Amino acid sequence: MILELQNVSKEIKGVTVLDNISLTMQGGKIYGFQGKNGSGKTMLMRLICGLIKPSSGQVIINGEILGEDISFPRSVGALIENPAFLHEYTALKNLRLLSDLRDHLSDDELKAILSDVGLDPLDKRKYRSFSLGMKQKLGIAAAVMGEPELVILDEPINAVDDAGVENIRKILSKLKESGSLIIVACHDREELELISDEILKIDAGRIVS
Amino acid sequence: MYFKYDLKAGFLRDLPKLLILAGIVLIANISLFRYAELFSLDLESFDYILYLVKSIPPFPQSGEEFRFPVAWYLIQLYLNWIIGRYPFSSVCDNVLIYGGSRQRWYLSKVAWIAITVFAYYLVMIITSLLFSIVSGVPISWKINLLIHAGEISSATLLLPIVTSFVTGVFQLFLEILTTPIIGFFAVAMLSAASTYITSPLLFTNCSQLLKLSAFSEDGIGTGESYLTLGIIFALSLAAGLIIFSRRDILRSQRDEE
Repeated sequence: MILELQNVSKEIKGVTVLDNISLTMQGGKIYGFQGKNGSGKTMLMRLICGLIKPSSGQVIINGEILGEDISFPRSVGALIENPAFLHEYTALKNLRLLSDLRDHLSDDELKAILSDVGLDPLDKRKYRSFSLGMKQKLGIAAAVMGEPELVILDEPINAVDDAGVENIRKILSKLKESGSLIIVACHDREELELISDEILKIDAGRIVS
Repeated sequence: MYFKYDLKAGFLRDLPKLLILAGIVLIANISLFRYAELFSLDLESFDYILYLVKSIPPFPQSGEEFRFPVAWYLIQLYLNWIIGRYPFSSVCDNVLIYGGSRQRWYLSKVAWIAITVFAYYLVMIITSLLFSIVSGVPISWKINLLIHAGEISSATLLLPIVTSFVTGVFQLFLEILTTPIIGFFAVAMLSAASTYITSPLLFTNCSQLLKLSAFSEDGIGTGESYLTLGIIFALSLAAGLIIFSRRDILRSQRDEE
């Protein structure tokens, strides 16, 4: 997996949210993005996912131009901002519904993913009654199910307990070993240093270091 | 693959909402039953179904006092409300990127509208038939309620369903172009205006049987209706696909539920 951003800029309503970003990232590595609120981290992640289009420049994934050759990266899992699930479904049912869109994972595989993130796969509670931490864990489970080549996680440890954070570290490490390219945005510099191979700092839509 | 998702997350979840439709249909059926008793009309089951989509003749050409077609309007409005809710709520990051294509996402919503409209009219027909059975109204496909010259083609009788589908696709386009609430109100106003003004340009006229030439001298022809609906469908679909392909998805919508 090779992900290239070539002179990517994005303007929304006259405001530059990403400013001439050029980057090359490769599989088997974890890239940490650090920046204040409003620095452009989330916009960059949405852009890499194909959810927003660059005003100029290109995003190229394994030689294919995003938005031209492909609508979205071919193998991607993402958790950006609030995870969106059906409120009256259980965790397993929500994952199964999403999995049917692409991976068609078996129930046993889905249950294993839920266990990995620290959720009880047999929990009959509906999503609407989940705590913030449980919602976040389910969002991570959805992002990593099927071991996608590209994993994008925006503030993955928000509201997650210590045991949950440890689970997330293990999952990311396993994905990295299998060759996935992992992008994590986090305001916690210490956590980023612990899990990332490279840390990139974003400020005012620019990569500054 | 989006379609299976839409069937489960959209269609099956929306099925209980059709109970409200059954209630509206039942009230309309009871009202027609009482009217038929009062004026000693011999109505049969098909009349009860057509009553729901007959609306009023072209106005003011008919020379009669304008009487707003409440049953027809409520039925259309409720369908527009159902259609207006689901598509926007499924603009979710996960759903979009796992499915892999913006175009397929959009086309799946069009298929969802077709299934929803079909189920909607099916509930109307089944409710009216059940009402007929329970109230002792003879079951038949004869038309007694509406005056017509000669045989009525099935193409004419299918126009309300086809019009509702095309209106739904038009509403989806408006929703993507603006917001769900603007899309809903625009279509609601279009339907209201079409009760007063008879013109194929206000294409919701085509779902009102009494506005059609088969039932009214000044009505719109069946061929003209299908041509208009075909053009509106093609334009709405093409414009919606183009707009959604280029649109920035700045946030998931479902967390707003």
